[in-house]
Amino acid sequence: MAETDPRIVVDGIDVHYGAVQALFGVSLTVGAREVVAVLGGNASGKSTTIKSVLGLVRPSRGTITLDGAPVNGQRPDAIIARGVASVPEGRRVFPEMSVYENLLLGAYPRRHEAREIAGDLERVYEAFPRLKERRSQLAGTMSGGEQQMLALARAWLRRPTLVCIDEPSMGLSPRFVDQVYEVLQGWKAQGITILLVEQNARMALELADRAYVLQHGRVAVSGTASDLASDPQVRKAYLGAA
Amino acid sequence: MELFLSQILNGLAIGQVYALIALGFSLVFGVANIINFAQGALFMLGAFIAYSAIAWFGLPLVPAAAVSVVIVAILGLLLERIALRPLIGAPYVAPFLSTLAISTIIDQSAEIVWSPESQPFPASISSTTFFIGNAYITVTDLVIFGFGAAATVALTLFVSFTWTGRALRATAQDASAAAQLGIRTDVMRQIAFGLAGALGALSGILVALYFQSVFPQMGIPFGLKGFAAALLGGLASIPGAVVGGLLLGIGETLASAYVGDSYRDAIAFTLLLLMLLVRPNGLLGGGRLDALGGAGAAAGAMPTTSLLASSSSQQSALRAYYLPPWGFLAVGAAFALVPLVVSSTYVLQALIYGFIFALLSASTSLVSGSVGILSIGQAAFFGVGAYAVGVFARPYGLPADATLAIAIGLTALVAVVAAIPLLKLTGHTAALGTLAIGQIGFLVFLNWVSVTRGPMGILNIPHPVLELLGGLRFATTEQKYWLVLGFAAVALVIAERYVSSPIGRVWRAIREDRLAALAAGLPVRRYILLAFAVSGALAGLAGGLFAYVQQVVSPESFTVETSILVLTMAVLGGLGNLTGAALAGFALAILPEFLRGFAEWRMIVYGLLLLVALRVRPQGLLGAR
Ligand SMILES: Nc1ncnc2c1ncn2[C@@H]1O[C@H](COP(=O)(O)OP(=O)(O)OP(=O)(O)O)[C@@H](O)[C@H]1O
Ligand SMILES: [Mg+2]
Repeated sequence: MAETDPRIVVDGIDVHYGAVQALFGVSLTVGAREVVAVLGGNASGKSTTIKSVLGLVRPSRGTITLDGAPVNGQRPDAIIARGVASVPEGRRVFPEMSVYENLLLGAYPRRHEAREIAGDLERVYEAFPRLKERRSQLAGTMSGGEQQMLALARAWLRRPTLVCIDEPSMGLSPRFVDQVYEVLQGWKAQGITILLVEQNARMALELADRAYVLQHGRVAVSGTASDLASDPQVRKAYLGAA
Repeated sequence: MELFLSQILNGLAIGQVYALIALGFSLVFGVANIINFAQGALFMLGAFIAYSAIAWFGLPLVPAAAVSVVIVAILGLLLERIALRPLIGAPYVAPFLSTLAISTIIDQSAEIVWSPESQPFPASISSTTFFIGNAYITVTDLVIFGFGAAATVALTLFVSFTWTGRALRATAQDASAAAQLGIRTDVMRQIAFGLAGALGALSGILVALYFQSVFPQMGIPFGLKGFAAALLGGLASIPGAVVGGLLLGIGETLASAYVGDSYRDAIAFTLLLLMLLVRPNGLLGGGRLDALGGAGAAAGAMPTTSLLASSSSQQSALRAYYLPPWGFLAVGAAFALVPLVVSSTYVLQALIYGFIFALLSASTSLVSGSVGILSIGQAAFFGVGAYAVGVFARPYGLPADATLAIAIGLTALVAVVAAIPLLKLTGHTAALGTLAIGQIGFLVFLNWVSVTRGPMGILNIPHPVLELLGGLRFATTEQKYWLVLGFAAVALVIAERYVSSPIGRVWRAIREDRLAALAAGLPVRRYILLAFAVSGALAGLAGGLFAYVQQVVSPESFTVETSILVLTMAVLGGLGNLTGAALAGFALAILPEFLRGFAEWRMIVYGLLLLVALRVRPQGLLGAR
């Protein structure tokens, strides 16, 4: 557990989509510079949890605090403005814009820092030569793996202190999954706080400090990543152990 | 050849203006996923505000134009605020109808402020003519083309190279992803509407300069042409809108030169329909229209073809109240007693119009509600029925049984043919297709003088005689009351039986999810055509009865206003609910009869009613079905 004040505190939230309730009293905390994974099967409420933190859906009960200040009911832009970046589920790059423009839009919240942005772009191109090669290609014409890299780089251009990532390994080949996690390891090393939603528990638990397992919209298990990785039930359900 | 070249140059100028209107549509459609029906009204206001600044305040053209552009841009913002923002999460049909209501209110207010007549535009650019080889072009054309092109280039630069422009495009491509980058998508929506207002005003002023006149009704035809241009170009692309505008401009200029100027608009709208038939995704467009949501659909913006569903899953199934088929006979029987107690011809006359509009409103509700193809062209079908009686009743001396049968059959046929271009469309696009049909109908009534006698209309339609009832003649108001009531009641029984039958269920299935209906192997096209046939038959009957009651048929009864009015009735009653439609049609038709002296406020009142209903009870009075 982090010693300093937590960055995110989710306290007992319920989320409804019309008549359907997706989350039931979910609580979690993410400490400063910590990597926290949220695991669970399909429809367990992982994305809903991250969307609540980003202000994309509104909990009907419970509170969410970001750096000590409540953010319930705030718009996504207000939350992003507090140093948060998002890598959405399914990458969601802008298909009819070039790679360059997609990257640039990542820096939208700090758009007045023209010089720094130019420098950061160069650094991204260094780290991802593939994106440099394709910078004028339309993002929609790139492969899924390339789009995921673009989505990660776009979020990094925000220069975030906290990143919310929803299933970065979805639909990727093992080689690309490894690349994604290499990037995330790098971010962790830079001291960026990460809230990561994953179905790929093996990769997530390697990266994360702590993890929560959601089942049917409730937190079923939580603990440090190493505890969960050796928990027989978690191993059976999410790590494919016999 | 010289004429041909000159026409092309001329067409480029007006085409550039259409491109500007089209850009207004494209911007708003891209960013807000809405087809802004009020774009035409903003365009008209642009022309009139410039007109007033010049004529009333003596401003020179350029400052007058600037003032107008600024004011209309602000109005665009207000439009978003008042008519659309409150409807986020409402049924998909609501925002479109809301812009339609606003457009009605603006158009009618303009008629009150500036009088309904056409007025000369008080400024002009030099009429010097240039020759390029043997072809000629006027300075006005050049200036218009130049301004239009400059505005387009400026807009392109803006969206390509500024942060706001990029954020606008990002919002258009994927609003949810844009929000997660910290972009305020609600502000982007507003900016899109503001820009659409500015573009609308600019194009309005250019059109006023081009045709040297302004009239309050100019919004709809030009708005429709701008939409046609946007659609030609694929609806959500800037270069597409420009190409579409230029092609439309050249096409209609050539048509008016070689076919006749009175066919200019009819040809433009026919082109639109052909376009919908052949390439519904536009010349340059991708698959955007299929989902009517593009990348936004991935964010859950508009997942089905259903106009009644909404993006917020909070909608619980609302109850619909409706009569069984025989109920219409019971109500009809009750109404049949009225003339025994009420002798005022005035009241009976009002009730007669109530019955006719009940029928017409039900016919609109059937296509708009049950099948989900919002009809803003129902007046054309109403008119076909009326003209059928007008044409056949006197010269051929046919009895009413025959003329009404012709009216019903002919209108059903016309409706089926008109529906063919709409088969591939859903949502707002289909609605604009029906608007084009309505406009074409009106233009035909107005211009096909040898049959319809044009603006004069057909006078002295004889009293109806029913040969089947032994030559029974309906001459007095009471007799006509019973005639209309009888036909209306029986027709509503038949229509309700369709709607309640398995056929009606298939219609609703098509409305809810056309893809699923297709996948289930249902002959979707045949069912849609059948719906149009039934709806056309009802509207044709209403028209035929209307002709007998009025004894006069003339084009002004069949304008787009009538179409909007009956659509309003259908929505207020609850789309797809014939009982509701008939009730609302009846009530709204007799209402103004008892509020004489407010005739010019009528459409404003209806527009406001529609706006309020959309906010308070979008499912209609008796509930959509
Ligand atoms: N917009 C929505 N409208 C209605 N229900 C929704 C909506 N979004 C999610 N749900 C429901 O909420 C529940 C949780 O969904 P959520 O997307 O959070 O799951 P998830 O754990 O991210 O699943 P996956 O692994 O498939 O991404 C599901 O039952 C889903 O059907
Ligand atoms: Mg998910």
